[in-house]
Amino acid sequence: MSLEGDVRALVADHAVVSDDDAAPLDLDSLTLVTIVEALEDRFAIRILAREVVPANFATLAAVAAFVRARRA
Amino acid sequence: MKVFMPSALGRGVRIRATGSRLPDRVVTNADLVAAGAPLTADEMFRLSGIETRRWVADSEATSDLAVAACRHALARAHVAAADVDRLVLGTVSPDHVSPSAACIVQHALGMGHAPAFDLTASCSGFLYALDVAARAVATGDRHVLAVAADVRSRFLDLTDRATCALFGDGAGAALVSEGPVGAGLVAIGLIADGSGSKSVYVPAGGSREPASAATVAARRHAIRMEEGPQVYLSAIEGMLETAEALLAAVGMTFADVDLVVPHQPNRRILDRLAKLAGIGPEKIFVNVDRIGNVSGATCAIALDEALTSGRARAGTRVLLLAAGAGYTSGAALLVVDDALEAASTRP
Repeated sequence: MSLEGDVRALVADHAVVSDDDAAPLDLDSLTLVTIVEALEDRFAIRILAREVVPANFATLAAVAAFVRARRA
Repeated sequence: MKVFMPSALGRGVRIRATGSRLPDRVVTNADLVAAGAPLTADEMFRLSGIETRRWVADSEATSDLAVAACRHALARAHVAAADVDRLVLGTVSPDHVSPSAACIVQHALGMGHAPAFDLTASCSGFLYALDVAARAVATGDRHVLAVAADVRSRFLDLTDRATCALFGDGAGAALVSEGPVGAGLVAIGLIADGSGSKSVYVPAGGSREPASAATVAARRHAIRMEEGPQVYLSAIEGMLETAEALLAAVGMTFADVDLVVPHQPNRRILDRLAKLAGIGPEKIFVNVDRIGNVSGATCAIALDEALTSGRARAGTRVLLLAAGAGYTSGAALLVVDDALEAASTRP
């Protein structure tokens, strides 16, 4: 599965997601923290507080781009 | 981070005894649901790891808890209140906006004219108070009470998902005295980062937004956590950053620490802290399940419980950690000595 597919599956485990990767994610704070930790475990990355901003978590596409950049 | 080591001044600082006070009223998650909280009891536990917390009675306030915790520490140390040179109280929930809760405590204890003052460092309150106490002893005070006390139950909005289940009330105290050079309280360091000043805060009631009918109606006197994920991650980063800086200053790593006694924001934060620090569950003291997040008092109560329960004994290298609103954070390395272990066996 592609990284984008992995991210979609992971987020979908915790929240309702649209078919459109550019659609806004409606994540409450508790769900967002859960997803951050799941991303860290799945992709072996460390996510800092200052990185948990809309630019990185507003949409599935943004999350995937962030994870891809962090793994680079 | 500047790390203060009393030995650098040719002085030694020790904790002679600790004490704590928890209110009698036990509040369960089911109690919060019954009071209107918007989470189920299971959700509260799953998200925070908290099962119960203690809340004060209507007649109790922060100074009452602080007085009890100080008396506990003084009795264990066999030191009279009149012999204490200074009292430093970390709190974000004083009895009144002014004067300080510390002055109320000082008078109740019978400390004569010894100086007493509050400091505000939120959940890092105990470590900030301990830092002041250590510096005072290192420069000549005989005994200083470092106490942290909070009554956050008075500042809760039970309809707020982010904060309704987290907070409890309580107080913890340490009697700080002169000791052998290089032993006892070996090092302590603090950090503040005001960029997070509105991440967790009580908006109204101060000079920026004075109390009014409108602020009360809008629940602006309750704790607000408007950037929950950042607060969660920042708390862990704050504790790790201060811990690593402090340990580096004394030539140690987490592997050299016997017991980490951290602030207890919630269980998930402690689990993440342990994971990132590479320490096993046997090395981290946890009581958040029973008493919740008691803000600045948490770390002091946890230290008292670690000592009283025997988890920390003579020779144990204890790393105290805290992080809180502001942001603030702190770390201290304490080597438990025989006198502190003996004091901790007293009721």
